[in-house]
Amino acid sequence: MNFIPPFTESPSGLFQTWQFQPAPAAPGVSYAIDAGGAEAEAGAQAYPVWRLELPADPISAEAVLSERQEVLGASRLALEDVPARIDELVLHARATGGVGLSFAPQTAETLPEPEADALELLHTLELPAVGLSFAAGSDERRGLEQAFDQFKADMDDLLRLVTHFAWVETQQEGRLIGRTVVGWSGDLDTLWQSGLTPEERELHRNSLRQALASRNILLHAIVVTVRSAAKLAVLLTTPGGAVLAIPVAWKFIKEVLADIEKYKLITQIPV
Amino acid sequence: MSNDNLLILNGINGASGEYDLPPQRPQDVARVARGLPLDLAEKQDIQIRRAVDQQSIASFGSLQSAEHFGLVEGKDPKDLSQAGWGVIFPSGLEARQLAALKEALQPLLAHRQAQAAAAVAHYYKECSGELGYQTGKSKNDFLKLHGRGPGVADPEKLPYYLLIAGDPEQIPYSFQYQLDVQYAVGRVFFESYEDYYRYAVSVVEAEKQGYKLKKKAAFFGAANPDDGATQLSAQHLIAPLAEHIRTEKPEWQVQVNQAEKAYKKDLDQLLRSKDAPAFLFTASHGMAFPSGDPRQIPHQGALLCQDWPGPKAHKGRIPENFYFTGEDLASDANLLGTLAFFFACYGAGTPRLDDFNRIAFKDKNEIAPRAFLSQLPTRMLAHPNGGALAVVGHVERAWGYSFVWEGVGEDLTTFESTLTRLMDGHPIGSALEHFNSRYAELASDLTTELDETDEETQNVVKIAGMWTANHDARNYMVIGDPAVRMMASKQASPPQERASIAETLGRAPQVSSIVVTPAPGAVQAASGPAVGTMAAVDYGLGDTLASLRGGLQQLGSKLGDFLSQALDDATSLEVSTYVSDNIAAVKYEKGQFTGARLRALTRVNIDGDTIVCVPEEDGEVDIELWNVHLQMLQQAQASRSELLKTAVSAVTGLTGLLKP
Repeated sequence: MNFIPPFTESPSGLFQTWQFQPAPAAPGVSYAIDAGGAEAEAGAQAYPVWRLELPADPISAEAVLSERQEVLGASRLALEDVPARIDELVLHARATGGVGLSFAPQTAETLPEPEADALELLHTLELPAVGLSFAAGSDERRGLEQAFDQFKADMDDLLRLVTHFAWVETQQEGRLIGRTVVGWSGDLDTLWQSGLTPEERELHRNSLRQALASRNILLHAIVVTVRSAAKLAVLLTTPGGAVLAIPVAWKFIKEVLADIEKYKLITQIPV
Repeated sequence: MSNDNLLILNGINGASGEYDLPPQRPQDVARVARGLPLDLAEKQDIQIRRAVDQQSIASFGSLQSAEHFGLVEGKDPKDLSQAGWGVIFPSGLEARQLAALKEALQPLLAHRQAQAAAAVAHYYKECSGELGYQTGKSKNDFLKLHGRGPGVADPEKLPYYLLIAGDPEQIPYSFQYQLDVQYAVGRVFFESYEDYYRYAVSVVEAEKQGYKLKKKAAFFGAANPDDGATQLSAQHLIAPLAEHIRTEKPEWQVQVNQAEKAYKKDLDQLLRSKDAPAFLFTASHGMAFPSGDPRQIPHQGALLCQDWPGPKAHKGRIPENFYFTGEDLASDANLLGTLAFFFACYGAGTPRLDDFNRIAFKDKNEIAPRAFLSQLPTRMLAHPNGGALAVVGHVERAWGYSFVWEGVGEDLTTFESTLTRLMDGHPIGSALEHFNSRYAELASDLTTELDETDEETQNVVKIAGMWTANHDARNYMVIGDPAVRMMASKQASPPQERASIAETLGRAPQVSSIVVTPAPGAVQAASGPAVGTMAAVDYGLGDTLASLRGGLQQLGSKLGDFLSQALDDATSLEVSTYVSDNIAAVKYEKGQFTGARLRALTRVNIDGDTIVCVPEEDGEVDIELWNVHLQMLQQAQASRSELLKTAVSAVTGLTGLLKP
């Protein structure tokens, strides 16, 4: 029996190792009993799975885990740094005339990509107030709408990740060595392949630790997003500025985290 | 150093429960004073103001007898046709935004125009566009646009009463402080045009209908246990000020709510009563929050009531039921005709940067993501049943030195004179001239003291006191029209009950184009559904905003549900360990693996009870598996704790952001 059906691709790179798959409808296999009353939704909802494939060689396997751990640490640090970067961005925008009509596009070119993109989106948010050429359907508005849609999709995934039970699986060279069901309130049920060495068990334990940490980092990203949006809102005269700035802040954070990958800190990013 | 030598401020940090700024040593404050950057123009203002005040003392015997203060000789500040009235808009507003704002304020603008331009047309002035406030410009730059330099107000050039219509990010507090030295200045800023309109209608209704409220003044003062600041204000501000009014204005009914009568429910009762006071004076701590805290924008400056048991009895986060904020204002309240004075840190508003740290430590300490007005006064002014006329409050931290002076003890002259002037019929902006005069005097004295001494010879306690009093006097401001005045009845006429302005709002043809249209600079959207009525300013983002807001509300709500259930479920934590020879064939059903051996189970209950099943192999405890199981248990405990903590932060943040 193929216990885990094929994954559906997550729409967001932010959730790279976390994948979402539909709960199987096979009789006798109920994944949702442990999900705190979510049984009725079992057929409709996809549940989050963290599946880690490690090489057979123990040293190489540990190296992969170690690199992932570094990324988690770097992601956490990058998140902590976001408020300061947003402050700098606000100061920069103010010094260069804000995000309204006087905003000069060439200014954005000198900024790192997350900052430049955020300014562009904020600029677009301000555009509808100043002329008809920025009506719905224009390129400017499309970028904004994409950011909004992506934010909503990511939030759906995040909600599932936090409020649903999750599966964490560790495989070594295609062999499943450990599987843990993380109850939505924190209970852990772990299944081990018999005959594992302590080192092999440690691989799954580390994988589980990273999965839990990455889930928490993603949730923490929401906290940082809300705070960042409040800061960015000072640049907006558009009504509802703080709310509208949330997708902008979220995109900024995603790009900051994606930068970690660009700088080749590791080969794969779990968050 | 004894506590007597420490300067105590009226602010409590709602997140930590500690004092917003710890009591300061005079040496530190003196350091601030030595760094006080008074530029040439500011010095000139203060010197002119001092010269005028001294001339008044020579002419009238005392400053209290002088009628004109900042207004040119021969003009009566009680008469708008002599003093003039004007409104200042940010110059950067789009034409449509400006038109919408003027439309919302129209009832008030027309009313004031009729009064101020009765004899001379240009005694009424709307300063907008190039003549409005231009970002980054100083008070003197603004005066220059209107043909004036520093000096007493002359309505021939610029009216004495000036209403700023804009938020402190668009028109900074510093501009208002300096303009207020010679002019009578107030400010309005609301999140929606509807609120502007409500306020405008409230003022006009109150004045046109000639409201004659019962002469009732209420003094509300917390005296929290083990708290030096409120003990001081209760004893040396609230009680003697109430007594002063009783003695000097016997026709006024004076109600004192102090200490055990100063709980949040008491303030609620005062404000929701049909017999709400014509004048309310409060002294308490004002709430402060870390920059960006979800409670900062809605709750900073809220009045901390007697419910707070003091710094010794309560540690940590200050709960909402200890303080009174704009959200606590009852929907059935009616404050038409009321004037209020809040002595509290941030009672009127909050700047973005902290003056104290900026000057003392050259540290651009950001205390808020943006400058903003406190919500209690603005909600009082825009109450749908009838808004208050104006609220006087403090921007940034309020200091006890404003009513207790080193070597003198209690000195309430400024407060007493202001209240007397107000009760004698002076508009609020004119009544507050005593504070402006005090600011000019203290700034002038401080400058002289600093110019004539050096660090070696300076009396740090003296300078610290002068600096704090100087800033304290400077940072009082009027939220509302500076030309409003007490609406209390004369003895001959019986008091009137307040009527609701709802009917007037319903009659007005403009309302349909004003409702739910957020004002320029508004950070939060109007509370109603943002649909179809953005006639005045159409940003084209109404649907997106509504959809986003709905999505965020759903996210917050689901996270909240998750938290609620997780907390219910957090009474126990269960970790189980299974082993199988063919792991891929094992099913997970009804919360457990079937087809595998359960080797260890631990359930930890919140009451400390723990159920443990230990793995055995051939009658011996499988130590290696047991250790792995214990490690998983520790991991589960740590992970749950961290997840719940983060989820609480996320829900709190989202809730704060979405609050109307």
